[in-house]
Amino acid sequence: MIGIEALSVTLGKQQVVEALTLSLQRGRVTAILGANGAGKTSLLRAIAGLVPPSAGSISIDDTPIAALSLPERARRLGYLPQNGQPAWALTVRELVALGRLPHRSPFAALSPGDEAAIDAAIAQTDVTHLADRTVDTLSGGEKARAKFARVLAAETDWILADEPLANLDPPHQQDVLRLMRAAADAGKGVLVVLHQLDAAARAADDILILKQGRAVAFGPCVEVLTPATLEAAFDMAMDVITHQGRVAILPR
Amino acid sequence: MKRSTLLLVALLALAFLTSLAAGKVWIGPADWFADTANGWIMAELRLPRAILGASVGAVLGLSGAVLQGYLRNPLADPTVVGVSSSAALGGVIAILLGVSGLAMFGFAMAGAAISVALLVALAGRSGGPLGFILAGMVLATLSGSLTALLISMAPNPFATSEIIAWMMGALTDRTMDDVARALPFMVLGSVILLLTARSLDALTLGEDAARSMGVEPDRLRWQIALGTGLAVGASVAVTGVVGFVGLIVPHFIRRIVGERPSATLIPSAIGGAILTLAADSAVRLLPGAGEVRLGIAMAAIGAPFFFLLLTRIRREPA
Repeated sequence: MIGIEALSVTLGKQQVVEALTLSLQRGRVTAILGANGAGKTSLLRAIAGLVPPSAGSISIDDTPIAALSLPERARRLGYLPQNGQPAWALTVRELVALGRLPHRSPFAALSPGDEAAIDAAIAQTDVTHLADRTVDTLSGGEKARAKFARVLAAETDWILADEPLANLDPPHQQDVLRLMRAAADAGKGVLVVLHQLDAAARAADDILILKQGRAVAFGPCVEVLTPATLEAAFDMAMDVITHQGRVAILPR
Repeated sequence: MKRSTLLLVALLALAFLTSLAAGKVWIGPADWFADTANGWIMAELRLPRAILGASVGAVLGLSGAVLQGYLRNPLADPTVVGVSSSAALGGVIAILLGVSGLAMFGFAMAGAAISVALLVALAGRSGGPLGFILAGMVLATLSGSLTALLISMAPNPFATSEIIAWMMGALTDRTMDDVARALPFMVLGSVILLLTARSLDALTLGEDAARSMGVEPDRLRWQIALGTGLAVGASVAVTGVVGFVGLIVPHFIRRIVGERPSATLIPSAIGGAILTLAADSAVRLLPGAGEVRLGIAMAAIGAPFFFLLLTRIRREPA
């Protein structure tokens, strides 16, 4: 469980997350929605330990994350940043192997356990046939899967993903959503920042909607995705339409 | 060991032996241990020169690979972050004060040490690689202009020419004393630099991702500044500034071993040693009374090669 208590985050003089209290459970996909500048990325970075809270606290299984060393934190929280293009043309396998860094001692070669985790992550994300290709030769969808594999290989309890669907076409968006669903079904907690409301409706169990750093709504998908909350969050009227058990959100 | 590494080691052995044999006087292996004039040249001149050439080249190649990995920029090298020019400034002050040998080495190392301290302080707590390179460029410019100022204030033309000759970088007339002074610092600095390998790999995915994978940015910055300061500072202290090695070698190595930063470190060290030994052998073999300075030869070899490399990189789709 990740417990967030009266969390505030300040960037410069700007308060980007304000007095947020909520708790997240493993085994569920939680989508964070909100307009640009609502504090979604800052919240995710605070949970990942990349920005210190200006007030309040974040704990993981009742241990404050501030009390964990960086490597300990890295073994429990996997973080997938926005637009993280690898600086060097690693092979897919080398990229995925980076996920094992928090588990390895300096200079030690990859252990059989490391290799197994890398193989499993590569298989789950369906990039086995690309393993020896360098990442600069991959398509956007392939790259997204390879980057997801890196986080899976870390075998963390939690996956924090910042806009993993950016620049992907609908089928590849669906691939990434399916990977997050599978990770949650396997017992991980998945927290994902999304801009695609329809995708959130399809893939998330719970939804947190932020506006100017405050929670507008938090709860199961069907309770949160209502015209009233969406209008409150985005200042724009939207219709929520159910079609054959699926939800579509149409701006009016 | 991988085949590519074995090949590099073999080339290194060849370059080292060539460096021992080559010169105005060719000395074959039969004479190396003989009690003759040639044997003396070997023990007193050629051997220290070859050891220094290999070790200076190795630390330049290694620190180039580390800095390029850290800054995620293929144009980085030890001269960019100001360590080389600060150590050179220390050496110039030593020449002006009329000291040499160990004292001069101390001055150059002090210059390197000051640059490391300033680099860490200027790069700031949250600076990251960008702050590091900006601080480095400020340092390089500052120590470069101080050096120019000192040259312009030199008391006589002899001092001026001595300074300029020293700054161009050379391995001529180095002794085992130089080796004994510089080698421990180079080894220590190299070990510190090699310890950054994993963090450099993590940085491939950006600073946020690296931190989320357990890399401590402050510690990494210290390691890189200190490792570069010790290794490159000591190399400048005994040979002056030899450019281009740290810049070019990692590019070649990446084409052989792939781009993962940790995989390029040791091969870049070996490659740097090969290139420096080869260039230093070449300057001795060029006809003429004197010798082309190694630093000049390196720039003359390096610039066209690098240009070629750039045009090839350009042609590849981004």
